[in-house]
Parts: sequence; C-alpha cells; structure tokens
Amino acid sequence: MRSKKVIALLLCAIMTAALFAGCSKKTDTQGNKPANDQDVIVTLGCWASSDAETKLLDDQIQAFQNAKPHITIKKQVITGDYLQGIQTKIASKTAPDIYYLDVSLAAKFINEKLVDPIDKYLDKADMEDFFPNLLEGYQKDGKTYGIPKDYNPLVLFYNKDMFDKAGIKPPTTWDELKEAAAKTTANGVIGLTLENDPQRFGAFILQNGGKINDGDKPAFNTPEAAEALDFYYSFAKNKTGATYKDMGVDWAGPALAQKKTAMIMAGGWVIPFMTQNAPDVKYGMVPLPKGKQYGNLLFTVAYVLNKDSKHKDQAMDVAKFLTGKDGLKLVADSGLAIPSRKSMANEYVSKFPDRKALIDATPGSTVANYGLNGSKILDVLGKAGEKIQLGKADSKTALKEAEDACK
Amino acid sequence: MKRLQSVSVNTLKTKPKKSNSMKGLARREKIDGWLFIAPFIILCLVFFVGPLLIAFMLSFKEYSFLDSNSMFQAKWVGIQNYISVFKNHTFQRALLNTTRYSLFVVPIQLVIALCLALLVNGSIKGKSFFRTVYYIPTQTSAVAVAVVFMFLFKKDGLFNKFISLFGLPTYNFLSEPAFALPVIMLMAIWSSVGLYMVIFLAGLQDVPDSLYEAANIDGASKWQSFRFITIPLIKPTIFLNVVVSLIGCFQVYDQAYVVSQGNGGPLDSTMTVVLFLTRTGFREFKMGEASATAFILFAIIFILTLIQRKFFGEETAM
Amino acid sequence: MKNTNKIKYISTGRIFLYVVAIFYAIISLGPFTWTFITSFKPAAETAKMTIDFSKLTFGNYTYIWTKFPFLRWTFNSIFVALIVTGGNMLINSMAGYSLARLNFPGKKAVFILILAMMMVPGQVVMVPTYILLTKLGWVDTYKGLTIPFLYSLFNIFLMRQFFLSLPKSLEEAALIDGMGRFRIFFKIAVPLALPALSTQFILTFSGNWNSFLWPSLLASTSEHFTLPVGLNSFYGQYYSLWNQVTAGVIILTIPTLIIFLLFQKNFIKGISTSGLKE
Repeated sequence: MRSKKVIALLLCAIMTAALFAGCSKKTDTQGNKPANDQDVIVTLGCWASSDAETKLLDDQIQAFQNAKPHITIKKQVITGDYLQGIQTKIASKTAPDIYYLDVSLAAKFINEKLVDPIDKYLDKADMEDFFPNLLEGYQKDGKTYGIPKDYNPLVLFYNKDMFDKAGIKPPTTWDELKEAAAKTTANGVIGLTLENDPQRFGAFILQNGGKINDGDKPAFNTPEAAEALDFYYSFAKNKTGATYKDMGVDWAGPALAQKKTAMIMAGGWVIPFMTQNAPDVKYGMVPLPKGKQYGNLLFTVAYVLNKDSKHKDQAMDVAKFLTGKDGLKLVADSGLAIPSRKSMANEYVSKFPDRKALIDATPGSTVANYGLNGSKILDVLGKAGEKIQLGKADSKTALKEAEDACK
Repeated sequence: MKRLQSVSVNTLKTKPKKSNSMKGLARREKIDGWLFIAPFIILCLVFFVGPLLIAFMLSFKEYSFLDSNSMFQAKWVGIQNYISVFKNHTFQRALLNTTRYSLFVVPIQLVIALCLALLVNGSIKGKSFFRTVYYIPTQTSAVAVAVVFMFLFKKDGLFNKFISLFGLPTYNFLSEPAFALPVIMLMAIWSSVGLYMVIFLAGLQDVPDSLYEAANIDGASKWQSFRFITIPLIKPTIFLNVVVSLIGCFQVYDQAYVVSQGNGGPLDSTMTVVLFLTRTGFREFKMGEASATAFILFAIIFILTLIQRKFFGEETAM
Repeated sequence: MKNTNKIKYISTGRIFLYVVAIFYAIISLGPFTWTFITSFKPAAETAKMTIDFSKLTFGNYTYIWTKFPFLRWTFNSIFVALIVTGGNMLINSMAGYSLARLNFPGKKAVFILILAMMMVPGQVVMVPTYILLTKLGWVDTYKGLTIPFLYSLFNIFLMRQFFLSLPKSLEEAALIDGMGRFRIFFKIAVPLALPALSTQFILTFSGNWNSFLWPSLLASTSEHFTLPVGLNSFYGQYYSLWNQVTAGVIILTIPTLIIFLLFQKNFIKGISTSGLKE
C-alpha cells in the first residue's frame, strides 16, 4: 500500500516534469508564427458539425490554399454552445478573423460594432448573384456586414405512402393543410407535427399578414398573429396535430423517420438525417401552404469580419472565396446545404431535382432576423406558444402577455 | 514501524525542557499549517479568487461580453442589477423551482446513498460488482440520461404503461409543467446517488468492526448499532455530503438544460437559477445581472449552510 | 447470546437484502444498457425499440476510431487526467490535513472561505478566468488544461473530514518523539487515509476525464481536444445521431469504470483502523 503511494507520487513528479518539458515544445508548434513574412494566418471560427459537413469545409479550405498558398487558414472549432464560446473569445479579444454568425444574432453584433462593414471588399455586380433577402439580414443603413454562405427555408415534408393511402395531394392552402392532417391522422399516426417554436409558427404569422418584429420592437400582438396562432394550434385541439415532444422524440425529424407523423415543417437539414436514419421512408417536399399570402422564414449563416482582426484583407479573401462561385459549387454538389448564390442554387437543383421546393420557397421569404431584442422576442413568443398549446391561455392573452414581457 | 523506534531512541539522549518544546511545537505547527496549505492557496488565489472578484465587480456594472468597453470601463450601476434580478418573474420562478428541487433531492439522494453504502459494505456476495453497478450512473452523461428518461416517460412509454395498470391517468410527463421538474429530480437522484454512496462507503471504513462486535455481545440490535455507533462516527461524512449535495442541488443546470433544450420550459417549470443566470448572461447579454444572480444564489446557499451547521453541532463543522 | 443459533438457512432478511440490491442494480444499469446497445446499432436501427441482432455492428466505434484523431484525443485526456489527479491528490490532501490537524492563524477563515467558494456557480467565473488564461498565453496549451485545476475545493473538504475522523494517537506519539510534520503526514496519516485517497482518486480522475466545459473553451484546435470535446465536435448542428453519441459515451465511460473497479478494492471494512487499538 505504501509503495502504491510512492509510485503515485513519483508518477506525479514525472508527469509534472513532462508537462513542462512537453509544454515548451507545444507552445512553439502553436503555429502562430508563419513561415516567412509574406505568409499570413487567417483564423476561421466555426461550430461543430457532422463529419460530412466538416469534410466539406475542409475541402473548401483546401481549394483556397491551393489557389493562394501564402495564406494559411486555421480553423477554430467552437464546441458546445457556440454563442457562449464566441462571446468568451470576443471578451478575451481572441475572436477569429472571420467567423460564422447566425442571422438571428446579426442585428446585435452589428449594433455593438463587433463586425466591420465589408462593402469595400465586395463587387457590386457579383453581389447580385446572392439572394437579396439573405443579404438583407446582414445589412444595416445601407452597409453590408456579412456574406451569407448557405441557408434553409421551411418546407413541408410529407410521407408519400401515407398521402397515397389517404388519397390526397400535398396541400397548398391552409384549408387543404387542415384536410390533409385530418385525413392522415389514423392508427396512431398524427397528421401534422407542431413545434412550440416561433421559428416554425412564425411562418404562419407571416402568412396571415402579421409580423414578428418591427425593427427592434416586438410586433406580434396583433389580431392577425392571434388568428395565425389559433389556426396553428387548432391542429392540437382537433388532435390532428401534436408537438414532437408529445410523440416522444427530440425534434421533428425522428417523428417523420419513425412514421409517427405524416407531415413536418422543417428545413433542408432533415434530408441527410432521413437518408441516414430512415432510408425506407418515402417522403416529398413542397413549399409551405399559403395563407392570406405567402410567408416563410429563412435561416442563414454568414461569414463576418472581426473588427479586431489583424489581417482584414486576407481574411476577406478567404471569406469571398468560400462564398464565391467555386467555393459554393462544392456546397451545391454535396447537397448538404443550399448555396446562398442564385447561380449555385440552380446548380444544386439540377443535381437534386427532388429538392426543388427548397429553392422555390426562397423568394418572398423573410430572413430570421428579429432585431436587437431578437433573443427576447423568440423566448417570449415560444412561451406564448406553450401556453396556447397547453390550453393555459387563448392566443390573444398569450400574445399580450408576451408583449408585456418584452418591456 | 522501524522509524519510530529509531526516533524514540534518539530522544532518550536529549531531554528538552517541556515548556520550550511545547512552544516550539506550537510554532512549528503554525508554520507547517501554512506550508501544507500554501500550494492550494496560491493556485486558488490566482485562478479563482481573482476572477471571482472581477465577477463580483461586474455584478455592480452594466456589461455584456459584446461590449467594446473593457470590464473596468463599464458603467457602474450600484445595486440596480440585484434589484432587477429580484423583480424578474423568471428569476422568482427559478428560485422557487430550485428550492423545491433541492428540498426533495438532497434528503432522498443521501438516504438512498447511505442505504446502498451500508448494503455494499456489509457481508453481501458480489460486493465489487454491486458497487461498480451503482457507480455507473454517475458516469453516464447528462445527455444520455435525459434521452433515456424522455423515452421512459413519454406518452406511450414504460412509465405510463406501468401506471395505467393501476388506472392512473397517463401524461407526457416532460411536457407537463407540473411534472417536468419531478422527472428531472428523479434523473438527478438516479445519476448522483452513486457519488454519495462512494463517499459514505469510504466513511464507513473508519468505523472499527470491534465496536460492532462489542455492541452485538452486549445485545444491541442492528438498528441500535446503526444509531449509536455508525451515525455518530460518520458524522463528518454526513456533514460533507449534506453540504455538497445542497450546493450541487442549488446549482443544478445540466439536467434542466438538456431536458428543456435550454429554455427552462415547459412554461419555466424547469427553469433553475443557474439556467436563468447563463441565459441572462449569454443570451440576453446582461452579464452584470448574471453576476448579481450568482452572488444572490451564493448568499442563499451560504445562509442555508450556516443554519445547517448549527443543526449539526460545532464539533463536526469546525 | 443471540447468534449461537447458526442454523443453515438464509433468513428472510438476507433475501430481502439481495432483492433490494438486485432491484437497484437493474435500475442503475437500465439506461446504461440502452446506451450500450444503441451504440452498436446502425443509424437506421437507432430509433427502433427492438434489437435486431443480425444488424448490430461495431461500425460506430470504427467510425470514431478511424475518422478522427482519436488516439490523440485519448492521449490528451489520459495525460491531462493523470497530471490533474496526481496534483490534486497531493495538494488537496495536504490542505485537508492542515485544516484538520494543524492549528494555524486564519484556519477557520480559510475553511469558511473554501465552503463559500464552493457555493458560487462556476459559470460566472468562467469568462474572467478565461481572459486571465488568454493573458497568460495558456489557451490551447496543456498548461491551461491542467494548472488551474490542480486543486479541488470539494476534495479538500473531503480530506479534511476524513482526517478529522482519524484517531490522533499515532500522530501525537510520533510528534512527541520528534518526528517532523511532513514525515508524519506521509508515513502515518496518508496510509491510514487510504479509503479517502481512493475516493479522491476516483472522483478527481472521472471528474476531469468527463469534463467538457473548460476543455471546450480552452482548446480551439483539434490536436488539443480531450476526448469529450473531440467526441462532441462532430455532432451535427441540428441533430445528433444517437448511435454515434452513445458509442462516444461508452468509450468515455469504460476507463473511469476500470479505475473505479481497481480502487474500490481499497474500501475494505476496518482496514484503516488495524493497528490502532491501544
């Protein structure tokens, strides 16, 4: 027993020695010193992603390195909560030169002047190739602060077999949606999957002529929004719809994969999930059914430029390449995300024609930027949805309470 | 013990004056006391106390990590943050939830842990096996545990099937504001009982068998042995576990985060104080208020521990 | 005398004990069993409640093994965990001993401060500490992953309680005989505290092995990921594949279980008190 302790202590001593010895080696190879004066290292901040997506980014980076070998790209993967991680880096002034920024955070980051306007780096003609509503999400007072790299709209995924069985076609209006849900709810299957997420039912609010926000202020306490929410949750009331939680899964995808539901509303991220998890399920995609008008949400991510970056020109070179025609062609061909450029989106559709709905859903959709108080608005709206779904309040009251909570 | 023998032979040669050696011993003790604790103090001062003081300073300022101003330049707002936090309905709810949670989890956790420790300490076959098995839940990640519990407690899950046998109504427990927190309590108890069992087990090792034998001979029942031998002798361990469990419960975060997917729902029923803190700091960008929340929580736990220390008596605590 | 009737039957009391033990064992193992089985399922089988034995595969494990710098991450985890555990054992035990046995000015205050510091949620010191580490240049280094964590408030508390409950007689005898404190500590107190030390080793090792928050903040390049961070780095942004997640969980769990099995052997009733009876 005594010898065990001695051994343990000896181990500690050896380890500590090794630690400091090893450390000096490590700090040298930390790689912050480029090979010669011309070479620059650009750090790129991204979040953790699946194996396939990581490979895609690595391929893009490699393509850039081949073209411009004197700029080395160093990827900094932020695992865990990206928002926490990036704020930590910003607070310690060690944020990467360029990094991913979700559009819902754009307003805040632009307002805090954390990211530089990048118009001087952009070619006006080239920018026409981007979907304008995506760019708008990163624009303020006529200046652009980010280049979107890819995006996803919401579409309606439906189970083809269940629809054939019920003898119906994919719905294109609210009434048809109601009917479709009713006809496919049978034998333990729920017609429509609902989510207590304003980034889902928000589309319905937009379709009914309502709004979620007006600039930085909440704008959802309107009869139109209340009506939309009434419609959305009517499925729960009629038992032709249920939240994915009620179905016992952790998001909408498994509900479709496990044949628990006939329809879900989600973005293109469902596609790789279904391919891997439920290759036997035959499903189709159509744009969301129309209410009074067409309305949809677009989720996108852009590269933004860190205002404290020491290599702004080179960093923008990287960002422009990764969102350039060549860079996005790799994305289009992989099918993992929809490129933010119209030209490449067409490439995507030509390669994956059954996903046309994703591109069709884009014009007329609003990018998911809810202003400076976006997080708060999403939180209170989510709670409002919960209240309605649980039957604790009607939509008018819930929306009023949500608006009060924003003050 | 060869060493001791050689030492005592040496002291026979010298005969130090009693008073001097006592003073010398006392002074040596003071020096040794500080020497022994010095490495910890240094590390702690640099890596904890420093940042802690900064966090404390932040609680009186209006600050977010996105500010271009440094923490020291941020605007001073006095106790405004503390007041805002206290007035915040979500915080109040979080405090209520966390208190309810702790009141249930601490005693249940420790009682089960002690029972298990006694079980695997005694003369049961397969001790090593049972000990390891009971310890396994502490190693399962919060995410894996949450998934399994969500599976068990869903509308058509095992738990509902079980209670419907008794004619009880079924629910989707994790979606019901009334039941979500109790399920998290179960998750927490399940996954941390093993930890406290291990500590109790180690503490039970110091109770000499001879005491039990003597008591047995004197005709004491098992329960009397337990009450009058075991419990008093493991009082330091009990105190340790109660304090640590209390602190851990009031700081609950992981389970609430995973089950509610980070938003404390449904309807704030799983909002805990630390979840509220991280959301306020990182999602609402109000780090000053988040800091204030942390120190409010600290004050509450501190007061509770003081009360609890009085309950335990001076000799174990200090 | 009560126990002279050693009739050869198993009392209902003991049966009850075994029933309880096994019942709780099932409860403990249940979720883990699900995790274990799911880790061998291919993606398409993951959601199903049934187990199709013909489809079970090592695929998830080979995937993790081959596609990622798995060995590097494992080395990082082992290296960091051993250093942190070794350092902790020494520093915490000494501090706990000091608080339990040695009277020095400020002792009470230090103990109260230790308790108090445990009560502050870690999330609030996270960023200031990170900023400190960036100023030291320790981010993305082994130094940053180990040195700030070489002590543990909880374990100091643990060791203090254990040293308090040890009888003082041997130490006092050695003191009077003129033995130095350090020698007493290493030669007398430490061997007696074997169960407590084993507990500390188990808890510190597994705590550090499983820690995610700090290593994820401190390591931005893949070479410095520890195992939990590395395994998390390929979970998708929108969803996770449970079969891969559970494989990761199993990989993470096995070493700590082995450590536990090895060290819990030291929890043998009465071993620490042998030789103390006057």
